[in-house]
Amino acid sequence: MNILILIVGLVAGVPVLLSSFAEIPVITEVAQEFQRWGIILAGFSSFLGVMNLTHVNVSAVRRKKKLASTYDSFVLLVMLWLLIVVGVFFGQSHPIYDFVFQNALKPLSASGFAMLGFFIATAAYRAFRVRNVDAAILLVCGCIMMLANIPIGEMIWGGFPIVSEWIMKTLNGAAMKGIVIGSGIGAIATSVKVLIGLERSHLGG
Amino acid sequence: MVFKDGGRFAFLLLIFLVAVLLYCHKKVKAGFRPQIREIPAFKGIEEAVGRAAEMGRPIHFTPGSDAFNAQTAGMTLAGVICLAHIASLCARYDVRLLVSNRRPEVQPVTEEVVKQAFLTEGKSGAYRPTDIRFFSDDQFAYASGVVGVISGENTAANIMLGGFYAESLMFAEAAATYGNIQVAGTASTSQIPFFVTTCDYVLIGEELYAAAAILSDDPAQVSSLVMQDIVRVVIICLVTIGAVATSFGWHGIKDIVLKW
Repeated sequence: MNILILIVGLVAGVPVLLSSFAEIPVITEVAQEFQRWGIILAGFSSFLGVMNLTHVNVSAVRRKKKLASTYDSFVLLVMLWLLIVVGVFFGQSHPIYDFVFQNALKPLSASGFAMLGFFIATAAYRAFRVRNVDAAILLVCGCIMMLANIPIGEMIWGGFPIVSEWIMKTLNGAAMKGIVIGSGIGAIATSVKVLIGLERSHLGG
Repeated sequence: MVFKDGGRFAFLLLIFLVAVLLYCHKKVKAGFRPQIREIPAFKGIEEAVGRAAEMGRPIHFTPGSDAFNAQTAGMTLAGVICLAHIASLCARYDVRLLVSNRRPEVQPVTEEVVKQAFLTEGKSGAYRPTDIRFFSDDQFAYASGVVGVISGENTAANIMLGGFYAESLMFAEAAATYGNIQVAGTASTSQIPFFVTTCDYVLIGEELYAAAAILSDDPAQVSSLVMQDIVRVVIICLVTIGAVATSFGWHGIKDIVLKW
């Protein structure tokens, strides 16, 4: 079975790989077709995802281990299947679908994103405690960057924006380029191993 | 064959890469073992599993936000490869492993990897399908789900290996609040600083891809490490020679790389 999956992966992967180097009409068409199949497969896997979500939460409701998690799972199941049924049978412009989207999903997503500000503050507090030389360098660079990005920083000393630009372009830029080159080679190596069948642990063996 | 700009060079580099990989694979299979430098994060994974076993609490793992059909799929693949090893360790030491997924197509793959690892360790009875969970492909719904697992299941360790976006800090901060030992790895340059400041062990960039090799000692993995080092030296030489040549007004190498 694993051999079959490897052959399918090789047959589907090589045209997509070749199409990124050269423009051969047949190869490009085949690659585009395989990419379309990929989107269809991803669509089917969404169904598997919904089934997993339902299975996990139905089990949680049945177990009634904790009141809070039972309640959360119940609300999730009701909202999930309500939106699926309304979306499939009445379309996404139906008032119920729109109501849930505007009054539940959008505010919840916005709240999630807003919480990041607080997480950044607590992470910065932990990182800026000067415990060693690395943390001290991080603290100094962080302070310069913050001062360069607020109006009062330039009023205190006009050199903050220049120093911050040098940190970003020279120090940060050089380190980031090193990381990007290294991880690029790593990503290609992993993909090639999967494509030629040297790597099989993602198949479960 | 009509190559795109820079296509010939990229194609030749890929051929070179595959040839070096196959050569190194042959050498490693014949008994060659390179010296691999120790990276604390690799020990961190074993430490995390050991700590969870001692405390009798579960471990949380997530392969991140990227799908298998994205350009950054390599990170997800590397995360899943490491998951195979982590699942084996968990099965061996009777630690419950909770896996959270954002992408539905990654869900069946992680299920299969964990199931096979438990089967191989002879602990098929300990495998629980409901512990491998899909939340949502919406970024913050997935993030909320992961934070819910970390807080609700009282995890002892949190391992995040793959591609991450803004949700990375939410996971790391939530796990830090609950006293989890944390191991993170990503090649996503915008998220590395968040992991470095919040996690106990971090695999930076290429270390994520190297993790699988060091964890498994599989010839294919070890040979890929050797290949990566050889290709890295070649690329560094090209970059250095190209930079010097361009500085002196000769654009030959730059033209070969970008336009040939």
